Amino acid sequence: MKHVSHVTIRKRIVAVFLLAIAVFMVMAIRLMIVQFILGDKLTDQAETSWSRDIRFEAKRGKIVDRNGEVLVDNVSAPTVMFVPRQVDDKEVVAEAIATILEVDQDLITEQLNKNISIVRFPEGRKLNEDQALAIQQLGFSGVYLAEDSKRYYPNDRMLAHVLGFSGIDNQGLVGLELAHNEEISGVSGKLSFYSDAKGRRLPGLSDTYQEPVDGKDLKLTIDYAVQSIIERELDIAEATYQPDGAWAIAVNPNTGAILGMSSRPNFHPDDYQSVNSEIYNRNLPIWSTYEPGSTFKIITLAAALEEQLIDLEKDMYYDTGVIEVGGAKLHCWKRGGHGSQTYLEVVQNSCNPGFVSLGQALGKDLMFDYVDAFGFGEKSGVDLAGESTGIIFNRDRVGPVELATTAFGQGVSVTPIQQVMAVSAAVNGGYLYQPYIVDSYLDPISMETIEETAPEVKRQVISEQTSEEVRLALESVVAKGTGRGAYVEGYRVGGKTGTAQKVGTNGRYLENNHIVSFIGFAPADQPEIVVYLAVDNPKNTVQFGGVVAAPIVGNIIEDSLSALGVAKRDDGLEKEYQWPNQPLVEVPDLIGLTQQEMVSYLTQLSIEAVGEGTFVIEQAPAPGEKVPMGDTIRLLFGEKVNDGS
Amino acid sequence: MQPRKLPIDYTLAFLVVCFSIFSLVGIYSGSGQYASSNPMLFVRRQLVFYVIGFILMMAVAYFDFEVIEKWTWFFYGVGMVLLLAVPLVGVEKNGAQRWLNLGMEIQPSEIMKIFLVIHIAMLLARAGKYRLSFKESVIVTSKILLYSVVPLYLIFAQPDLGTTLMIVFTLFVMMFASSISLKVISILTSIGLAGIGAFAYLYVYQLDFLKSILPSHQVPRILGWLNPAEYSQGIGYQLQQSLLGIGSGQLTGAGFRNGYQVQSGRVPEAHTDFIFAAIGEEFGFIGTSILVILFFLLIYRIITIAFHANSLFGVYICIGVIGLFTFQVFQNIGMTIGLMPITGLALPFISYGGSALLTNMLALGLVTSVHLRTKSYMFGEEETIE
Repeated sequence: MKHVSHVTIRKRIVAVFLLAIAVFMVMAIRLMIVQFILGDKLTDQAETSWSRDIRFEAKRGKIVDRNGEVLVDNVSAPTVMFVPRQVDDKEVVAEAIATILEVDQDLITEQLNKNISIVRFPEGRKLNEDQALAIQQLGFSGVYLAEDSKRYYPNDRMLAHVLGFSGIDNQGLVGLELAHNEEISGVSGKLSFYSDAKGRRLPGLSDTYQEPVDGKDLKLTIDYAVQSIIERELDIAEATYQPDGAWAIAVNPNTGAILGMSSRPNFHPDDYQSVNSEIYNRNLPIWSTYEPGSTFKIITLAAALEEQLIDLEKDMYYDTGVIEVGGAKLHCWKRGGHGSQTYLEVVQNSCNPGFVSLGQALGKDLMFDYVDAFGFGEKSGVDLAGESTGIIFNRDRVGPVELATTAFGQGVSVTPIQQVMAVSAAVNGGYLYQPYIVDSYLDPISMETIEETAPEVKRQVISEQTSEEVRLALESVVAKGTGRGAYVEGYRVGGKTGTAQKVGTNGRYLENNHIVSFIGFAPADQPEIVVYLAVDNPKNTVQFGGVVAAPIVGNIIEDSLSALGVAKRDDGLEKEYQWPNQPLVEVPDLIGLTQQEMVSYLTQLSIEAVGEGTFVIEQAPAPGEKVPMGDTIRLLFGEKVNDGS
Repeated sequence: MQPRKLPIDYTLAFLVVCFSIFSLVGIYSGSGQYASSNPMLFVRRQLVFYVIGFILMMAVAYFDFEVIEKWTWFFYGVGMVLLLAVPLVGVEKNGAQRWLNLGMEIQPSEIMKIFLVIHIAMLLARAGKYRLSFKESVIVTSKILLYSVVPLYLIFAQPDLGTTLMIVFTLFVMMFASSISLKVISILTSIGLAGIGAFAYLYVYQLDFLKSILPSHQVPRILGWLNPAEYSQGIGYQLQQSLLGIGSGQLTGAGFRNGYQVQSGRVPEAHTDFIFAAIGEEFGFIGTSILVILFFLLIYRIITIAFHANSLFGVYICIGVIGLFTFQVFQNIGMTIGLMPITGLALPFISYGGSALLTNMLALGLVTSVHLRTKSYMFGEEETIE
């Protein structure tokens, strides 16, 4: 009998046991780390690798105008995809699908032989209804149709810059489609089938279908009718003047809601690839900055009235045609000046020296306080991407010349939206609104409003009373002054012309290349709409706001107010018709003059210009003939003057 | 006929029954991807192996293990013959030649490891229970090396690095528990640590050289274990998928037959080498910790038997069996959770496979036999404890 239960052996056995305990501890700790600490992370990783999903795209929300008129819609455009491992006879499938898609059979065969779980390919996307139906009827296994849609634009190019467009994956790329992508894109659904490592369906686990959630509809403040009118007028302007560009914007001055907005050149959202990216990336009404010209005088006027520096009817200004400021001579656009005028006539005549005198009366600080208060030099805050800030003089560097030019709209650089909002403030009782274009989100099914934009007043700039004075002064500009072209019977249109010079690449003003503009509002007793329109470098015409832009704004206002159901007034200022009982005027000698120099004759005579060039080389009727006021003089422009005058 | 007690240790038998439940459930779940038309195929076979194994265990336990002591030479010889036959007429699978087809496929290395343990146990038992001098220790150690180097080389050359390392580890544990001088043990430990150190040095500084001296199929296995991201397509992939499975099991698991990693075939060999991943994913930490505790109880039970054994030979057999089981469990579970490189070692008692299960049951039979012989000396033992 051998007894080995010796202490030393037992000690060694215990040592082995301790070794085993250590090994098991290491294992248990690692197991806890894997299953508890790393557990969540590993679970996520695993789950994403398990399911094979067939995506069902959500429908993007529609974009509608303030009355529910559809601006951007969707049409069904399903996608066909393959799960190659489930396809039985690849030859047969390839042939059938290729016929339906009208593509090469080899292309489909190639897709079917791809060694990936789900094959999506460009040619299989955005199918039309007939193709989808045909594929569905084939009933091949491993061939799936997933619902998808594409954008449809019932109004073609209308509002394209604002709406923007979306890409093939239904992602917003530009414009509202991009800015509100998250809300309108919805959540895509999916059909998931659990697959084994080789992509075959797992029979034990059922497929799950998760319905897509469609995006919210986007309701704009845009009025379909107003927008259509603007588009129409811009099309006509484009055809008539072949300008470098044109843009217009209409707002409701009492809320800041944008009723219409467009620019040229424009594009079709379905075909954005065919135009330069500058065209769709630049929404000119909020992007472009330039010297406003005379439309800016409204600001000077409002400031002077608010500060009670002048009485429009009683205070007089004598215009010699030039005003000397800080050693520089600033000319009136009318050679020889307007002579003695009331300040109301200064406004009607858009007399530059008269406005310089107002600027001087205000002084640097007050003038620029008002420029700031009216929202220049800062973004309007409109809910669109790509807005510019504009450039206002740095106040420390403003001398008498800068103050004077600012007073009549030169030397500062502003955007159309800033002008529209500032003028809205000047005529709506003094309230500067933040402009907006998105009215609300709508539930795509119930059409209930989900989230609504409230009009936002930034500040009151001038008093109600001053605002009323401004309205009346501007109404008289249209009835009696430079803005006559915008007159609309019964709608009491007020407004101001603008002829802005453009700065060329050399830093100097360009010759014969202006942005002509008009900003108008109506009715003057209680404005319902403010319309700004600018045409960049119109051809075959004299480049004056009163000639080119005012009539267009008049048309837009007339048709828009009618469409908006605004009642006609009968208490407005009468347009000063010069005929039938008007004095005849002598036709001046225009030969050899430049466009710039001709300005003074325009309030009395219309001009029809032909030819390209700097100087007038022919005119009809001949100089010295007497014609009724408002008659048309035909001018031929050219580079060389025939009789070297 | 007098009713006889069954040759069974009820603790071990209970653990075996628990293991069989884990095994059958795990195999049913893990083999679905291979035999979907007949999901019970592997389960039935494993059940048959369990029944045979149980009988084998009792049969071995029935015999007095001390008789075996005189026959270890014979077993060693049989093992060697089988092992030598492998490179000549062995069956090749997955690039390794480990099997012999004798009516049914057997894996000689499985059998040899037990026979070698018995043989070395006999050698160590002969050395006696008192600490040997350094000189005596060197002689015993040399003998052990002499007997083990050829079978180890043959197994390593199959190639089967896992089994080779398992036997090396087991022999080391046995020597550690024997009378061999601690000096020799220290030297062996130092050699082992130096080897690991050299490997680490080469891995960090001389990777290309290391790649050139390793057998080509081991390069991705070892490097993939050390750096799974770089080898994510091959071995790294298996590790990654099994980690994902076990990790996603979290506390309670996905439920029986609901583990996606396992059911979808992403976890490779989910009824054999990676069965632990199946259990981990479907039964979570609750399942895996119960299984680990069962293994620990198994080790504890064998330790207890060794502790009370009257025979040095019996003690060393027990220690050897502990070494085999511990290494396999640690290696197999370790490779599924990123602790160890991936090798083909199965999880004892759980993985599907007849050879391994029968070998393990045979080992338990030996342990039971040691236990049963110990019992008969219970009274004597009281006197010897001082």
